[in-house]
Amino acid sequence: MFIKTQLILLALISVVLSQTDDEESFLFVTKQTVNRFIVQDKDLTVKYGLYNSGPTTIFNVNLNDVLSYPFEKYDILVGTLTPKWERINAGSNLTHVVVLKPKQSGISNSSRATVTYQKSEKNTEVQKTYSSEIGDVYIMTAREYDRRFSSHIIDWVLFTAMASPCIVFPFFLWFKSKSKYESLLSKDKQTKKAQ
Amino acid sequence: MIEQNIEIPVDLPMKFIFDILTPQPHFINKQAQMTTQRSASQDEDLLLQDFSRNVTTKSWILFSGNAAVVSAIPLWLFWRIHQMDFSSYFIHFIIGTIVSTYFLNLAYQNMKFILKHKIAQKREEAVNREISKIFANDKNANKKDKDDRVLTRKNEVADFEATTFSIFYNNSFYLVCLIVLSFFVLKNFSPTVNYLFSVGLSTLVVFLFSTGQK
Repeated sequence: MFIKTQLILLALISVVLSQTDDEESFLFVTKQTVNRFIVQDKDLTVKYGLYNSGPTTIFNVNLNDVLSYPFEKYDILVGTLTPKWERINAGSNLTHVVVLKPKQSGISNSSRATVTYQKSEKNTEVQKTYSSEIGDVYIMTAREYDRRFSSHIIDWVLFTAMASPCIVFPFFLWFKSKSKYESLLSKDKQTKKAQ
Repeated sequence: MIEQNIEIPVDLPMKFIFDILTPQPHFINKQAQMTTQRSASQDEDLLLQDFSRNVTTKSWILFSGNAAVVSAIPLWLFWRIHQMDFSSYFIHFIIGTIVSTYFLNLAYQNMKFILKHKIAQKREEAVNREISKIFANDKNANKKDKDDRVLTRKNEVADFEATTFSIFYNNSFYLVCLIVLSFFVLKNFSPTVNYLFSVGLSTLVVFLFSTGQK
């Protein structure tokens, strides 16, 4: 029993020591689109989140996402797809935003971004990591987007203006004749009653 | 003898012509009685017109024009809201409009035929009073003239009201059906399916309802 607890304690101490010895940091990178629908010729906002989880600062961070959004398919409106940062402090977050404009509609594969960095100032070894990936995205045409989400109030008003004469005019003619003959009957009945 | 007295209107369907020319005992008896009272040709004319589903040319033009306009108006919605270009979908639009125009026209005619009799019965008394007022001052007028006038006027009124109501009812029914189908039921389908099915189904519904009423 005593030996068993000693062994457990020893294992715990060794784990703790091994963790404290490792002073290297890990960088977590996320990538996501802010837009719910991606539409051709409309802004697409992509947000990258970088989080340095380790106890030390990392240096020379380079993000590259050119492969996901090639120039022939996307225009860059704001920001860059190859940002660089000198350092990211330990335990801190960093957010990078790019605004793009898709040139084509259809399914497009938005794969992962590549990030390279140095784990410490002295360690010149380049560490490489990848962001999360969005996968296949459907870029809808502007026409399809309008069809689904525009209110079209003016179009409906004009439609009502065009359609109403076809309904109101015959109804008016019918109602006029109907009320004429019904009033003729009711008038006669009234006069008979009065007599 | 009786057959010679009957003038057959050119636009009557063969069935009615056959009915008149075939010696049927009850029909001949009725005819024989009528010839003694009034001039048979006029009465037959009216009677046959009453029971004929055929419409006059004027009425047909009115119905066709109305049906064409009502069929064409929804194209605006499909063009502007469903984003269907005329250049890409003109075949669909032409087919849809022709089919719906044809069936709407039939629906108008069916409904008019059904309504005309009901309205004629309803308006009989009122028309009688209207004509009586006109004839009240004219002492020379005989009863036959007055009866003829009542019959003609009743026919006119029933025809007018049935026509206008039929157009009003079928137009409203068609447009409501089309909007419900296109913008609620088939909303998420492709524009082509949406157009063809919404126009086809609403035309079918309007047409069937016009034939089903009794």
